[in-house]
Amino acid sequence: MGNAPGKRRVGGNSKTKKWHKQGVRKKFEARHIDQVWEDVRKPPQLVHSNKAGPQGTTSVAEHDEEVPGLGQHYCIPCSRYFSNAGALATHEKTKPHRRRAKLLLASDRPHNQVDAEVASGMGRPDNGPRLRSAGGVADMAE
Amino acid sequence: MRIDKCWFCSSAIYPGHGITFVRNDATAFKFCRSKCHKNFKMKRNPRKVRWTKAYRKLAGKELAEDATFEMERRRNRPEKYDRELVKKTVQAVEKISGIRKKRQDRHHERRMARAKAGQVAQDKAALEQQIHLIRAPASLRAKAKDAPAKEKVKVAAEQRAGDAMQE
Repeated sequence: MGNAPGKRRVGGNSKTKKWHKQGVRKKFEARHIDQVWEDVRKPPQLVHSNKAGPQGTTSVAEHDEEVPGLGQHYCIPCSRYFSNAGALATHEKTKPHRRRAKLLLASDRPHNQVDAEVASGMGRPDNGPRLRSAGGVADMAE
Repeated sequence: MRIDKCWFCSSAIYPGHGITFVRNDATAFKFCRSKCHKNFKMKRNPRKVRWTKAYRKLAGKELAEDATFEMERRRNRPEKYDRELVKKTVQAVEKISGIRKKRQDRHHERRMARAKAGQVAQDKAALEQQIHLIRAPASLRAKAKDAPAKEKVKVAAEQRAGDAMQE
């Protein structure tokens, strides 16, 4: 069965399209660079406990069977789970991991909304004088 | 009503325009148009994309640091209403925008002047290197024969002038 005369088949191979879409989606749903940038500067237990996934998100609240190795072995700079301690150790020796870890620690804070506003000709946000002592609710700066 | 700034390109987002993406850690990302939203989804870095304000400021294409940029700010503490203050503020806005415009224009002029000087220097270098394309090498050699004598005289004259100045 061909196409009707004068009609060209468009859209390409549906199977390829699906894989491409899934790949893009997966990449976007992983932790973003600004989150990872903050993660590598926090104490590891604040980023990841063995019971729950990357803290500060609802993406993986509690590990289930779908997470490799039940979420026991997590690489913070690469935001990736590994199935066992050996795999994680091997991963930490690889070049992509080392390059990424080094780059994250050396780089400036990734672009954020404040940067966008400053670039547009605005000053830094003005939160006024602090109403309550340090650690209070009034601390809204960044 | 607040006129927000686009996360990607820093342009103004007027009410009813653009799209907001809220990430699952409650960070809001506002985009002025689908172009910026798509670029964000592709995980592009605005500091490396040449048409964004973030790039242009970092690369020195536009005036980046100036006192006039300190006026407009996100104020998270509402001011008590005062008619006089509003009047003064509106007047100040006009004045400050004028000053900013002038400074930005001056920055642009300087940048263009610098670019032009660089271009002239480049052209001169290219001319020197590729002179054989427009002039026969034989005539160049003939010219080079006369030139040293001329230059010698010139330098000597300059030296004498310099000595005279010192005295």
